Amino acid sequence: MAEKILELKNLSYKTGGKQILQGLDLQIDSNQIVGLLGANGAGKTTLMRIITGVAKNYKGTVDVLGQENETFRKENISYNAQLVPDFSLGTKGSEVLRFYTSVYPDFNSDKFLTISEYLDVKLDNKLGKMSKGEIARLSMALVFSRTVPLYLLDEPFEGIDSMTRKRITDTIIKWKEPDATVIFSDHYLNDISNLLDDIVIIKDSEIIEHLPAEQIRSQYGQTIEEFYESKY
Amino acid sequence: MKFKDNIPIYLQIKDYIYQEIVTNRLAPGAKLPSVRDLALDLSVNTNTVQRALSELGDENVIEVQRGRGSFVVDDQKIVGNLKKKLIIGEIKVMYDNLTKLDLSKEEISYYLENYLEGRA
Repeated sequence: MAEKILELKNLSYKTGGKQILQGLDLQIDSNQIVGLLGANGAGKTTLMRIITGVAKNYKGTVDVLGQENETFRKENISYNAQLVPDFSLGTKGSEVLRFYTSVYPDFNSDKFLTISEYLDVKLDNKLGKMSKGEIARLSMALVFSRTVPLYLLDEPFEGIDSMTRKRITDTIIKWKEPDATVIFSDHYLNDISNLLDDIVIIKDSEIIEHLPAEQIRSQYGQTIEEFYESKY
Repeated sequence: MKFKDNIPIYLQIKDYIYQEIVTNRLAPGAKLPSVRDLALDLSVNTNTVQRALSELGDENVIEVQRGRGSFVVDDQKIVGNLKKKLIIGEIKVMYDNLTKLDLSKEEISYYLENYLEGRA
């Protein structure tokens, strides 16, 4: 049964006198893959940071499984953007693993090793020696090794070459927990549009569209990309 | 498998499975791959595969058995009808396009026969 996993009500966010998000309403069910689309600077990253509890002082409400409590949200969301940056450049992949195992009770290290191997992440390498793409692949392995109902992936394809994009999308299909929801942001729609249940478009601080990908195809006869471009 | 992005993916998955059945790559009674394996093969969302399979189940082309998976219906008649339906569908598309060019029935059969001979 579909269950409401995320609900935003009249969410606004301002920083440095600038309105970043304005009056957002959004409901996302369990077992969905949602594409959060928008130009750079539209507020995608800010929205993810608010949902996970990293960015505070917003107006409105953010409920995850019906609860706004920040600790609860952190426990139930796995978010890629805050995974690796806190470690020093000399840290090895295997040490990152040890940290995660000790910090997150829901972290599945067998799953992590399987995904790392699938994505060709060398755990003996130090973070400072890894390419942008390898860091992105390591983040992907870390994020999906937690067992949570909601995964937030901020630009998971950044620094990933086109050959590896398919590996990343396959990782989502293969290792997403059956009832979990994945929300990911991207500004490049090639070869991810077949993955999406829903798309959400952010423009000028607001959510201007939220609809099923299949509806765009059946109702408008458009590709997701054409639809997205027509809104910008 | 490459999908067109401006046609609902679940419809294209249904077409793909129809083809597999009609060409006997999925024989009557055969077990279909799991939803997740199909999703991986086709690089699509599992919900989309689920929707395609559940419609194929409603059409009695496959039988969805709870906990066991999906099976092609073990009935030559249904498979035969499916094949007929697909052929008629393709011919209809061709016919509609040719009548747009104001071709008569006789002309259509004339060109079609010539074409088929040329291919042989």
